[in-house]
Amino acid sequence: MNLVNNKFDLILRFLEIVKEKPSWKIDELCHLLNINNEEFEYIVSTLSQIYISNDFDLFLDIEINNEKIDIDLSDVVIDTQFITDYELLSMYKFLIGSDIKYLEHFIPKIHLLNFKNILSKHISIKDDTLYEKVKDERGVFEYEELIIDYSPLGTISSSNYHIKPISLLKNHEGVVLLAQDLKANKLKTFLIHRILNTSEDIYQFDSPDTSLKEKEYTLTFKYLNNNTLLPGIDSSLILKNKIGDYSIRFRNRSIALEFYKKNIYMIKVVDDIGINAEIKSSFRKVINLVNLLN
Amino acid sequence: MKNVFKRCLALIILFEKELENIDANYIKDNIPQYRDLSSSAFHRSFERDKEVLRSIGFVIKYNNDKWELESKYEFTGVNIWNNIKNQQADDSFAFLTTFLYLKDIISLNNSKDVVENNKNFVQVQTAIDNKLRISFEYSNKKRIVYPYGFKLYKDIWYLCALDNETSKTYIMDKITDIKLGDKSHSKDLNFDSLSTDFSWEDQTNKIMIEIVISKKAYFIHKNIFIHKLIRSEDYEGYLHLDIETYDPFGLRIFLILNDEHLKKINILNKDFKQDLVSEFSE
Repeated sequence: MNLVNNKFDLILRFLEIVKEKPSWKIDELCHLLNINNEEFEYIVSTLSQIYISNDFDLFLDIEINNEKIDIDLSDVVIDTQFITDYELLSMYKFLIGSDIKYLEHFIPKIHLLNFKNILSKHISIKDDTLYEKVKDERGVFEYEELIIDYSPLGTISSSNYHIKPISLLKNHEGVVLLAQDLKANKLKTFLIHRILNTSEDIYQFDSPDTSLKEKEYTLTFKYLNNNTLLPGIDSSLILKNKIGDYSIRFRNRSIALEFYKKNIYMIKVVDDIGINAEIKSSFRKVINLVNLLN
Repeated sequence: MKNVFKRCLALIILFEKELENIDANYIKDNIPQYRDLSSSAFHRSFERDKEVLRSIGFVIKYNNDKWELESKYEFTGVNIWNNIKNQQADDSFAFLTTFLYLKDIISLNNSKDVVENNKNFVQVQTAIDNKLRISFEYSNKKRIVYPYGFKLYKDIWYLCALDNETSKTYIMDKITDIKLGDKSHSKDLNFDSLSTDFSWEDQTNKIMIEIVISKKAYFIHKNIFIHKLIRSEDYEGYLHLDIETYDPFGLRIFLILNDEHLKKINILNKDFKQDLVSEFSE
């Protein structure tokens, strides 16, 4: 969303919420809208100008007294809806695409379930997940800082990170927590399904060793079935070479191997005997375990 | 910038106030910021404002139905929230505050592809709500279907629709040029009773498997395949699991991803076991 849309969105959110009642404490309104005083004044001044310059019969009337704001809206504004299908559908898609068992660490589960439950009555998305009833709990975003136990892609070993959570977003690898790594003083993303534990008690720990620079790895492959969509990757990162093979550059070889295993029925790696041998070795290990019980 | 907001807000409210028979002249006459503009300046400004509104989800569309006496503008895009307010009035404030909270902590992907895909979703959902047939381009062919829902499988969204009385799935990302029919159909398209299975899914082919796996590995990779846990016991960092699944491909991938972290695999279906061993031995 660009700056114009962001500010317009703020005004629409304000209008939608003030429809609920005519009188508000300014602090309460700012808290619900998560805005500061400056943004609040911007909204009020913009809406006041619209009132003055429009022909609509008493579109809205705003009066501010100390810490209170009284807003008188016309019936037309009260009947007008300012939340679009597009926004709700995008949010619902995000929630369905993120396993609730992972999301519940970030958003109080009771709110999440009620929200999803209402939307499921209006949007025809198949959701087979069974949810148990829960007590209200605090979400990660209500803590200023946290320690998380995180396992990066390509491995199941994990390390601790001292972070300040910022937001959740979705990329091609899944839903990620955008956070400030307070020890490294860097913005980082953490896939939420690989966050093994969170702790609000801050304790001392050794940072993960970043002294060894990771060696990038390029996976070259052919499609087994007409350029099928490959889950877990942004398709713009897939390059085609002169002889018709495709390639993707990964942060390291372990991530490439994990990606190959996840897409084993869609691609075949070329020009890397080693990685194909590792796949065969995985097959053998599985067969050995399967046959162990015979 | 404030002028854009004023015009856009005035447009939204104008359409709420007067939903029918709104033509360009009516819009120009009733919004002060447009009134004094020349015809061409008005149209340029109106088109820009429509685009700002469209990017948020408010759609102002020119309806030029040859069977109608008058052409006019239509305003859509707030159907879901409208319905929630009407049908779940008691819960709507809690819903709204949760929505605002989620909007603050979730940054939705606004790349061109995702925005286009979400717009397609809204169009199809509108068709489902209004029981309309849709047509679209898919794999270089025009399809005409009756949509009834969406499903997500391994991070890919699918449309579920009835094509010649057969339930089929279509990858949403590959659907282009969606057009909605203009007459409601009378088909009973109950999402819960119609199939949402892929053509390769065979519900009679249930696979039962017992595994012992590192707890961490299971937590990280469990979403690779669709399954139901029948039994789960935690013992010294390892999980002893009895699993039921209809997803043979997902299960195979799960097993090779966790080859280093599995201690036991007991496949109870003889046929699946033979297939797997034969495939992995090639």
